[in-house]
Amino acid sequence: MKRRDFIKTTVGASVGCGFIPLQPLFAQQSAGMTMYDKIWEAHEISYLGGITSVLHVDRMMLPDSGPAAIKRLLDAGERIRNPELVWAVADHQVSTSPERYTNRSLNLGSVADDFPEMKEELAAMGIQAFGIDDPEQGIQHVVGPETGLTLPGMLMVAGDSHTCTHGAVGCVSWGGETAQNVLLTGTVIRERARNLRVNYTGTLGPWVRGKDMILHTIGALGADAGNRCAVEYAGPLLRSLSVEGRMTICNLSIEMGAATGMVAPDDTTYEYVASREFAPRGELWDQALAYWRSLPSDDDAAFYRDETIDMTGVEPQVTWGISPEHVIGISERIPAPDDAPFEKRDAWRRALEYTRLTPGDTIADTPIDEVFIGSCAESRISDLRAAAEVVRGRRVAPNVLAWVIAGSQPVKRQAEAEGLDRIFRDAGFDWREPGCSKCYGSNGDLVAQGKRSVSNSNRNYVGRQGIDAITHLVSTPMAAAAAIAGRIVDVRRLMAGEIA
Amino acid sequence: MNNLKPDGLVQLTGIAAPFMRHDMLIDYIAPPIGSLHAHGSAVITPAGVVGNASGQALRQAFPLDRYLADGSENPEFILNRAPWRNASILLAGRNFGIGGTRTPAAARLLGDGIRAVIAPSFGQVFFDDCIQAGLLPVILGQEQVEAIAAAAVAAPRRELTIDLRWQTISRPDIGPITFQMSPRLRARFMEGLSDIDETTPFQREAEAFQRDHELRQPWIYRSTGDQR
Repeated sequence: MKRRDFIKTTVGASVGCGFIPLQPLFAQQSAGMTMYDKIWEAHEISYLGGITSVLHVDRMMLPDSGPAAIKRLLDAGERIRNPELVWAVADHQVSTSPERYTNRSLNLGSVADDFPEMKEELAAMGIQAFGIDDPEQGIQHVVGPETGLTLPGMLMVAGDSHTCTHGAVGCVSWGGETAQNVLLTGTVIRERARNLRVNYTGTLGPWVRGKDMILHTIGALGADAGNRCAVEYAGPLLRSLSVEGRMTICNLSIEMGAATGMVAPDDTTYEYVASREFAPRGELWDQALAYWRSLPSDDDAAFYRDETIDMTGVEPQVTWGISPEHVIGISERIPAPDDAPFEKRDAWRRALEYTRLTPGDTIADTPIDEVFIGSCAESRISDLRAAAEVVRGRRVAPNVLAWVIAGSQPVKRQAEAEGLDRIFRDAGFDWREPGCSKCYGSNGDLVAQGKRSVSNSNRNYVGRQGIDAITHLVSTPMAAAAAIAGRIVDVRRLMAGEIA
Repeated sequence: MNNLKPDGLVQLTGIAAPFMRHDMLIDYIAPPIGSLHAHGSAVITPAGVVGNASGQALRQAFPLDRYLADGSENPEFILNRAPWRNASILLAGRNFGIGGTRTPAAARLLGDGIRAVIAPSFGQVFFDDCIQAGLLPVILGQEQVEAIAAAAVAAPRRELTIDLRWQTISRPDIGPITFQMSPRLRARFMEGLSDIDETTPFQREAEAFQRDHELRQPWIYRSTGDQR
């Protein structure tokens, strides 16, 4: 209690990253704690006053550059503090071409060789590393939960923004950490975020899913709503989602400006986690489970901000601009800058100029050039099944380049076992190898200059998928429907046979 | 991996460049390689990525503004113009660096000679990146930033001073304006500390913590999976 009293009197003087009213963290004293605060305090090595602590790291996740970074440290005579807690996977710079295993120069930089070259050295230290030849290679935010390297209650850090995805299994995870510090000390120094809870209520209409929930939320609350907040997604509707659906929601926490996003673990989580390769078994499982059950926020926990999003009647969402907050329902019309709050009018004007859309037009029927299905937002098996259901028996529109990229090798194998790859290929999609690909383009996979892309990824920023490339963010089935129609369409109408 | 230990920063005096666009995304400060490639300022080859003729686009901030598609400098861009080419302070708009984390964004600004950014607000995650990289983020009210920017346009060679001892910003014709900063971050910049400098003193505590943690949560440490 001493600490809380201290924080109460000093935190007002601490400065955040903007002129947001910094209210005392624990202004409303209550016995209850949020899940974020529980996990934070369970990893607190030292409390430094104000809102700053030194924290213990349970998992450090490294991307393509991982083996090279470790080699440089070892060559400099440094010691990795907790190598058995470190893992690395090749994802950003790997080619997605099926030729990548034989023609290794298709992969950018030295990523294809770094993993095999360092294999023995990494193994001797206990560092798990997934190169392109590994049967479980994939996008890091797919691989972590899928292998059980990510578990409830953990503090997991990495460099990559979308590390917040892992929060869906009930852990606290964030990006933006420097590998050097974490590798050498096994700790991070961080300022504690405030607690924002988003409660989902109502019901989802047909073909409305996790992606629509989070896009709608960012539209309603704003792309800076999460500033200096850790977001806990909750509510009866959220509980009804699969862990994969929850991952999509947590994935876009960073697009809401949040420090991280998470979902309290429940039976759905435990069922998902059980029997994963790196998940505990036997007695350890029982012990872990007992601990995990204590993680959800207490009923009387105080949140800095509590929001409720009623999904009843919300349509499939589609972005029209250059921020995920520029989002409308599929049957809505493109807004005019004058409709925006005063301080956003200029941004809306620039957004419409970039996306070459006219206010008052419907977003539906906008012709498109490319479709991308993949990315850490939605490339898991349930996402691919949803896309395949839309694509089955249909053809990709002429002149549309459409790609499907499974999030990991296990997802790809599962999809192939179910025949989903055939459905995509028969329809005219490219079925490619796992990696980040066109969501970010750092492997050279790009949307052609000035072309309009419909993408199930997470960022529609200027130039994100290629120079002057326009990105419309949608859910996976909406992306599949756009590929079939050659224009942005309502997947519900396509499936009802109302669109030729 | 370089030890990016920044030098201590007690007082910074230099030219301030006004680049006041609001909602500046990290994807704009340090763009994805793909957009550089399509812009013409980088080339993707099987062997890796190479920069344009000068090779700078991959290392500098705002390369899409800084270079034209033929690889030559954009003479209109503020940081390509005298005297702002030598600026060490950037005056920025609301929500500078929103959109996520991109450690190279802060590092590129530093590489360009920018030691401090003054803005009405920052993207939180990028703000943290700045702290880690040693790029001083200063928050002032929007009207104050705009007033300094107007002065920087009117008399661009007059230098601005940021003094961390007194937490003030001043110029012969401005201020001093006081800004807020947490005592820890202020000390971190004044002493030029990195994350490692701040966490290393806690190594004994960290090891003691971990011994206890391993007893309480052994499943974190005892992996069941096959070693790769």
